[in-house]
Amino acid sequence: MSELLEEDSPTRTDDGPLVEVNGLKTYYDTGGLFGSNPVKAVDGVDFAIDRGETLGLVGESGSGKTTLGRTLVQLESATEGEVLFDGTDVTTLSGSDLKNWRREAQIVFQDPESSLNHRMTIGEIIREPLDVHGWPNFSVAVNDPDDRSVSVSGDGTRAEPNDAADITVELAGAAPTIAVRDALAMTADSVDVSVSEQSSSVSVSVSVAVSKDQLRRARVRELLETVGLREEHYYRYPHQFSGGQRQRVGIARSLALEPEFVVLDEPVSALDVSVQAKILNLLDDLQSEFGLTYLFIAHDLSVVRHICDRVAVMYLGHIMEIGETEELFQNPENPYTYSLLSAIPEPDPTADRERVTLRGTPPSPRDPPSGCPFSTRCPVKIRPKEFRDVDEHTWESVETLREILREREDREMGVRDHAKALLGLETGFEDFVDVAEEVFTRNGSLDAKGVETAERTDAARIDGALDDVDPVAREPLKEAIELVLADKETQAHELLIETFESDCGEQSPEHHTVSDSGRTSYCHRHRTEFDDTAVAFDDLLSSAE
Amino acid sequence: MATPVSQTTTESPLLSVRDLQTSFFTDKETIRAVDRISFDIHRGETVGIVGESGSGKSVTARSIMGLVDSPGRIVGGSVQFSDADTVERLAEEYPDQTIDLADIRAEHDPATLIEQLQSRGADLTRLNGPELADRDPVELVREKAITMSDLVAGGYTDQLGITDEDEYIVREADGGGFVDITGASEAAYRKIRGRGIAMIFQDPLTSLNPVYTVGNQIKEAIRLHQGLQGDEAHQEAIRLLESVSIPDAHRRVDEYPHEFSGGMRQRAVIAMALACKPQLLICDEPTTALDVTIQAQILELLMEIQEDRDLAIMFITHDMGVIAEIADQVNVMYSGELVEKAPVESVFGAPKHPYTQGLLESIPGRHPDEDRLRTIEGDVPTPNEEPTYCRFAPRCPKAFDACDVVHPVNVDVTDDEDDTHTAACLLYPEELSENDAVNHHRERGDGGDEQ
Repeated sequence: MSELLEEDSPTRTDDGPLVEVNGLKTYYDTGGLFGSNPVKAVDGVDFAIDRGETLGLVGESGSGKTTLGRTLVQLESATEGEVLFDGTDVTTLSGSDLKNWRREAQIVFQDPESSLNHRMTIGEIIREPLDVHGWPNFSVAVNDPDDRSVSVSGDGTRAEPNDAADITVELAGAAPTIAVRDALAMTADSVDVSVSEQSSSVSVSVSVAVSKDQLRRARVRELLETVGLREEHYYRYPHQFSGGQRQRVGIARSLALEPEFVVLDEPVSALDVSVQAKILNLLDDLQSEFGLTYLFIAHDLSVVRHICDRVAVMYLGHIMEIGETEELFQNPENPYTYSLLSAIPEPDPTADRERVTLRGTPPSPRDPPSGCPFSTRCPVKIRPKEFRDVDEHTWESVETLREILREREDREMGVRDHAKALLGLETGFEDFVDVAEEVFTRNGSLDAKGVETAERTDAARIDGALDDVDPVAREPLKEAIELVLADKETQAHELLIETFESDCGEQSPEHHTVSDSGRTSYCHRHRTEFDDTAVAFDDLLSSAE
Repeated sequence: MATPVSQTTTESPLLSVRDLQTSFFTDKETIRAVDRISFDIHRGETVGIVGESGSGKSVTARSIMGLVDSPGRIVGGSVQFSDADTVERLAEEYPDQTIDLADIRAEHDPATLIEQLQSRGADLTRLNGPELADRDPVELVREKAITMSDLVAGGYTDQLGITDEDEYIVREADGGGFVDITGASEAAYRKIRGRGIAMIFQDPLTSLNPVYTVGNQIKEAIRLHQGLQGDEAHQEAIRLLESVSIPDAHRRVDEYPHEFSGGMRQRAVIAMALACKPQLLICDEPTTALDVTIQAQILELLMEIQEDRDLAIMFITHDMGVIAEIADQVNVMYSGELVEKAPVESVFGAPKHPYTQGLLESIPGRHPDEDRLRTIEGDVPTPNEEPTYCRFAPRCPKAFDACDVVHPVNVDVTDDEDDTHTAACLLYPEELSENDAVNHHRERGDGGDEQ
């Protein structure tokens, strides 16, 4: 590592967390001439990863987990916040410092198909990082009993105090003793050291008889073996390998520079279950052999449960819940974790569980909901007092109507739409009575009830649709639908928000500590005045029966 | 939760695949991607097909749909689709290729035909179910255990010169009958696809045209298959989108595929498939590219649709969790062959074939107290030669000497009287000694699989 890094991290110890993330935000598209509306891929996360630990990162696509992983290894630059690696904020690094640091943090990509260059042989692919970083740099550590100042010349460079040096020169005794690190495929015999000692300084000149080229090739062969491939695979091309083998190549490449921290971005998602099991076992072995620290990004929760010590659940750029794996799986505290776990298909046809199916898809990270990010889909969202006892159907339909208005507002109007609107041809809302009927009538449309819709007035149709809704909610809903029909959809949306919104959609929740092991959950439900998540879900499921 | 098994074994299947064989002919070798597999799908039933990549799942689906591209082609077997509407439509269009069973019955007696076949030394084993194996076929005909329809379906009437090989539409007098899809021409296939059998693929974007609105594409299907036009078609498209739970369908119908999220695109593709009012829906890994939350929505949707329309579904996936959830019947494929076939509860509760056992064992979470995941050594081999051995033997923890020289056939391994559970492994039938079991497979190996 460079001088600068060393100066920056004087307190470097082995017991603090290896990676510490504070208030990290990564936005895309921040520029823009007319004020920016960036994609908030990662929107303020804090966590730490201990040495030798595997932290799982799960969430739906678009939740920002890949962006977070890429930001940690500086493939994306952070918009705000810091990423402390061994105490150094790596978001501020640049140039050669950044390049030097990159050896410590590597990434394995999801798709081994596209992350390997098809025109390079496996050997070249794994060797590339070695070439780029000039590995090995023959760093020389000189152990001098008299503690004089040391200068190194010749093939070697001086090793930084905390790094494992390639060559160690012991000055005690008549002739210097030379030791070579195991990762280098050469013996001490190939190193020739001449030492000239003065009273206050020592200069060491090192010459190595083995070429770097030979050492790199030997390193690649060793890596191939480490990840369970064979030496003869060196000269083959990626297309000659199966998916599992290609993923092994990707892993070997990430290990080439002996990193401490590896981000695994869905490394087994593209693989068959039997191949997946082998790769997971391999990752496990490598972790114990090299003392690696992993960030394991995945959407397959059973894989995460198997391999991770702790899990962070992400939604729309926020960490919703983070804590010990088993605890979190057995007793999820955050409604999103609960829903996500509930969606996993269990490989047991006799299992008879109540499932919570989330409606819709996550909102756009360009325009996240105010308050809690999950508030638009949360099945156990806190309701305002007066609606706490309305039936599920009513509440569901209110949420659906809000979703529809929200989406219509977000809709990007094309040239054709603008033209139509200008000519008064189409407002997009003239069919809203149909929509209202679809939303509020129990079990779908009125056709099912045998009601003839064609000859009734709009007002009668709206009243008919609202028949199935709890009386408490009827008045505001009717008003909202009428506002929409009068082309005042913004007011209608505002009315709905005002009437039906609770803290969930208005204030950001806090990260509440929810267990003794320090698990935290980002949800208003943990405030004392509300029912806990588990209770709320029990109520929900029992009312559905 | 799997839907309760709704199939009644007495009812004849909607789709019956018999000894289907699809090979790909390359300069180097012939790859037997689908190697003599047989299975049935009943109305209202979901049949899951599982296996690793390269096991032939998708080729099976494509063979049924007539979508196998050169250098591949169907080289043997039959796929009988027994949908009265399809039979009727095709029979009208192609009278020359239609067999009227009534006519044949009037002219021939099945017992006499069987005697003729026997005197010619024809191989009649395909007619005999396992329990009928040792009995006199002539007697069976008198008991109606074998009918004329069986003789026609088995291709025996072709051998006798009564029917022609290119006659693939078999019509019963009462409107029943079947179409052997493998004999259909490309034009005839187009009549079967969509309205008879529809298919949805893993990536919905490949099935949607980016330059047309979603509504337009659904309307095209409605026009072609239901003959509706204009506003009627538009309303039907909206109704279909609503039936696949797309919110605000009135607006969505005019949007383009890129404006839909992944889950919604898959819903739109399902709506397109439903527009054709198919009898059988083939789903080729429809949820693999989706998040678990969206996957749960789509699976729920498919189960609802199935219940409403009594639809038969063939569901291909490599995710055992999804299979447990949606399938009634499971077929496990390995290297082009069907190695185990059973109701979903038996496959997960009492898997018989070592491959199925291995596949289930390697799912994370099966043994929570174990640190390491169990794996199956090695990779799926390419099926490039006639199997005279067990293709799984090199990876099988239970393999013994005979596995290298005897090709296992599907034998009955049922524990419970009510279901049929078969596995292609020399370890079975369990009640026989190892030697007898091997001999059983060796003898049967010459005569095809039990049904």
